[in-house]
Amino acid sequence: MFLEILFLGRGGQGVVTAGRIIAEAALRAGLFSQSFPEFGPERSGAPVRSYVRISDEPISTRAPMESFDVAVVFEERLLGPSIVESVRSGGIIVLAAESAPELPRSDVKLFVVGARRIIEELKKPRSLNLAMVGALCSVINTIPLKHVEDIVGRRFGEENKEVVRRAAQMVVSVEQTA
Amino acid sequence: MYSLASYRLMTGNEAVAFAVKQVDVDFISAYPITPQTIIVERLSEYVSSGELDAEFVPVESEHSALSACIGASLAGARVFTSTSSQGLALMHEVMYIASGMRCPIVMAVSNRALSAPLNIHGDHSDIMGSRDAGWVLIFCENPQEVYDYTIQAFRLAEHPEVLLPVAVNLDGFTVSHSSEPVAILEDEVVRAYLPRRERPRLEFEEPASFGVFALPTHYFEFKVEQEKALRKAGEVLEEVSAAYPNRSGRLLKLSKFNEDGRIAIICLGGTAGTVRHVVKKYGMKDFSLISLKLFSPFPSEELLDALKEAEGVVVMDRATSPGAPLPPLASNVAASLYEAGVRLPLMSVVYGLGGREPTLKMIVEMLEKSRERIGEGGPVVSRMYLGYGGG
Repeated sequence: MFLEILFLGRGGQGVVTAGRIIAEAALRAGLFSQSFPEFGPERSGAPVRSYVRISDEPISTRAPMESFDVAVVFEERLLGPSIVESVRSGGIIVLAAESAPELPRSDVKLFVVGARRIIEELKKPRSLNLAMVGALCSVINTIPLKHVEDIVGRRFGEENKEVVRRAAQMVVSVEQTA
Repeated sequence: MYSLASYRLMTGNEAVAFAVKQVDVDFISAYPITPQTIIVERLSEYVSSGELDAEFVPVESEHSALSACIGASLAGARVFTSTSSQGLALMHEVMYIASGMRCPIVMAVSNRALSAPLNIHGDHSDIMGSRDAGWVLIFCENPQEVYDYTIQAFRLAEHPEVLLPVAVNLDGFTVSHSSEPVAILEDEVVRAYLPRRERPRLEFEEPASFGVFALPTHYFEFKVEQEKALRKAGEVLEEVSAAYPNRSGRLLKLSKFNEDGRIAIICLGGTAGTVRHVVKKYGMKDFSLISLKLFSPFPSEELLDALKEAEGVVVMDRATSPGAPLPPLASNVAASLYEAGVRLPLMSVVYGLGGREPTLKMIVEMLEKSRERIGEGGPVVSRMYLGYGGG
């Protein structure tokens, strides 16, 4: 197993933290992981990426990632053609959205989670990243959700565990017709 | 036997700071600069929270940081600093003073390109510009090595037959900012590995002079003695690493992957991991990888031994040496081969300047190119700029 994951959001949404949480959860699950931000200056509100590798063998590569098994996209407007193109055939897109957009390709699985509604309802407006990690964890199904919950509980308080749980429950697969 | 406290997810910078805390340094003076900043931040947090009982001296420049470290080191303290790029360049003159006064300072360098043009990303130009300053130079591939080698660096620096500063190099961003699992030792195990040893120092009771003026009658001897000590550090490293409690974390002068490859790739730092990945993933069995951990003192003997079966070498430099026949690492490899009377075809590759991280495709291209060049009748020395976009 060798997974390459992209997190794509905006500066201030916790994109880098999301990557680190899933990498740490993978470590707790006895897997090898690597997480790194897009290198360089950061600007609040500008698109921000972070990258994660998860494997059952030690990871030695430090090459930049150019294509992905999974893309976790924090907002529909960020899901541009180049991002859709960068997902490998058979790969997955996890998108924060209320409804599913049309994708120009059918060899990629699309999952949608109403992450914004979840954090609004739970009054955790700054926890979008935690919702996205919960949804991702549920979709890839290689790391027990409990590890993510534990890390989130310890770092961000018990009440944020519910954000993770709810997103994991509410993420849905969208059938592609294209 | 050793006991592993646990694995923790850490960036290279965090691994440095955590190791330095466990090492129980007495004195830190540093100035923050990208991409090393997190090291300084973490250490100042450790000191302010009381987790680390050390003197933290904020300064207005790297020149002052290293100068303060020299003073503390001469007073007998265990001392740490860290920097990158322009910060290291500003320290340059003080680096010679630290080694000349035989101060066992450990410094982490999160390697970054030098201006101009201004660039904050990774390459080895910073430390290569100071490679003749008489420091022990260690290179790390990943946060795990950063952690292990930082701890071992203190024991090496403080060894009575060495007493020299050590720079632990980690690639800016690709290692300094990459979070990975790190197996950490218990605090007590680290403390037991690093007992404080007596060394000449400034004392009221027994006054001594350090940093004296040396006329032509003595200066030469000082410098040659210093060079001998640096060579000695290579030997001492063997016992220092053999005593390190985590066997898999021992600082060897080099590590070799795929012994049987006929073409040897020689590399410093994080990119070695990428090359190893490519050789494995694409089954390119005709290549071996030599990941050099020690650059100074240069381990010629061990390198020649590792190259015994090689038909050719590819030497990857993440720095240039403008105007020189070869860049720094290739130059050292060529000199080592020449001394042994070995005339192996050598392809010198300059890569990754200013953060142009080699992709898997670029590494494959380099390996394929080397197959063509290291055939029969090719030139003894050839050159390549990997990933260079110009003509």
